[in-house]
Amino acid sequence: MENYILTVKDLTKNFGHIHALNKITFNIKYGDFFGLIGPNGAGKSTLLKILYGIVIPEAGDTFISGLNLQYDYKKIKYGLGIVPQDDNLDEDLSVYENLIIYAMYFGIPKKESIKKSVELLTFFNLEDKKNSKVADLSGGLRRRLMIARALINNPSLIILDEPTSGLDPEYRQNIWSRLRALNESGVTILMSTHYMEEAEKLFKNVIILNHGNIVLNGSIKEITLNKKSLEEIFLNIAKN
Amino acid sequence: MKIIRKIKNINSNLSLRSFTVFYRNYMVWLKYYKPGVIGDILEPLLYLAALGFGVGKFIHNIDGISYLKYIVPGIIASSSMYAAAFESTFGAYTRMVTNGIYEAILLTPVGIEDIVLGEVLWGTAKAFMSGMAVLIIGIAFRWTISPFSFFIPVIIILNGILFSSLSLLITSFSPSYDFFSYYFTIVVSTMFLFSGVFYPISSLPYLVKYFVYIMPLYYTVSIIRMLDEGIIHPLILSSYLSVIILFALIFFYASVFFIRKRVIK
Ligand SMILES: Nc1ncnc2c1ncn2[C@@H]1O[C@H](COP(=O)(O)OP(=O)(O)OP(=O)(O)O)[C@@H](O)[C@H]1O
Ligand SMILES: [Mg+2]
Repeated sequence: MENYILTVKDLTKNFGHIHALNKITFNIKYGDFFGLIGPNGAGKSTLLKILYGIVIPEAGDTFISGLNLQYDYKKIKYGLGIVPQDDNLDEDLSVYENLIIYAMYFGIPKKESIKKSVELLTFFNLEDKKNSKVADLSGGLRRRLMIARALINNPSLIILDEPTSGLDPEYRQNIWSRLRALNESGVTILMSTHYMEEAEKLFKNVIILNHGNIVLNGSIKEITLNKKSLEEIFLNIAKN
Repeated sequence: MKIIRKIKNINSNLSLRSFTVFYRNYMVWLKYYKPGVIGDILEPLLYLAALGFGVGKFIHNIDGISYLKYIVPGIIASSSMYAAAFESTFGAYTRMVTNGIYEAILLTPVGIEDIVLGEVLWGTAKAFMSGMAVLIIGIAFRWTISPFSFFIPVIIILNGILFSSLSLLITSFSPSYDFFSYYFTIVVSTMFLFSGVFYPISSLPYLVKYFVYIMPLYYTVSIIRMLDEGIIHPLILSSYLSVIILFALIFFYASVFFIRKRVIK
């Protein structure tokens, strides 16, 4: 377990009679760029929401950085950066204030949070939008701000739920390059997508989820070695 | 027993982080406070002026005091009730449902208990502003001169906690903004009209009078009036205070419980 930043064992979640997740088990190594792939309704968001505490599972254990999610979720949050599928920026505040307030939720001292916010605005090319209202940002900029916000506490694990969906190719590449840079700097990334091209380009290891079950688990290289493209594998799975 | 365990659990999760939630609301309020202030401060003063001078012309005194003086304590209580109720229904619903602020905050180490406490504190701050505006006017015009009046702010705060908590509880069940009309008509306005704000409840018919005893506002109006007139009945004061605190605690814990149920699936 010491080698893993995230361990998930037998995670199960039902919504009424929908089996969103069936006994999901997998691990993520420190420094990994880990992908979660699956068609619509596969259970990707449910899995990620359990990891960040918005959904409570019926059964199963989760450990993040060696801490049990069930008991230590507050401690865990200090080391976690989260980008949910639906954006929930604070519409009443400016771009800069969104970062400052978020830092406050983490208890980061004011001086430090100002420095970090400026740094993040630069990293995500948002300096000239610093004082704009969030409501005035385009979809692509909002997504960048969501990711910037998730980095305010210097997390060691970032969880992103389809961060590039709905973005044009330029914005998508823009986000890819920043995520890659973060991963190279030592941050572990867990990210979901249903773009196979994106998966092949970014991920080191993946699980493919369908109807709440893991149907494939391994490194991108292994998976694509003898078969054809990830796209075909994915389409085959989605058909069943 | 199960309830006690749940309450203990909630208590252990409460922290000073709740002030960050309060501060967030305050920061947003600073940007848009002007229209809000009219509702929270000007409106109760309009009631006071219209009824105090208008109706007061016909009613020379109630229990030996002028009508205007009579309604000051009631308006203090009811205006703080309204301010808390508006903030913790429409305001809180917007943050919780429309803008997803609670979910965003839950991605940080701030827990649901702190969010609810922060919201209650914020609703209480709004109640405080509104109630204090009336009290200050009352003192300035010498409508209230008892030295006990200096304890009225404490009761305004308790009233704010009480009605913020109750309103958050309503919000936790609310499927839409429209739902709040039921709350404001059936609960808030009823209390405004029947809790002894404008007349002593002894003038109400026998059965209705007993109905008043389940209205939390009655107790705050009564205490504030007692302090305002400077005639303290220790037994009534302490039992009414206990009722207010009990109501507030029940509503607070219930709202934590049900808001958690609503936000965390
Ligand atoms: N709160 C909920 N109540 C009821 N059913 C839910 C809830 N959340 C998710 N589900 C169901 O659970 C299943 C998995 O949903 P989930 O959102 O995890 O899928 P997903 O893989 O993220 O899909 P997408 O790619 O469309 O985002 C779906 O059948 C969905 O309808
Ligand atoms: Mg999803």
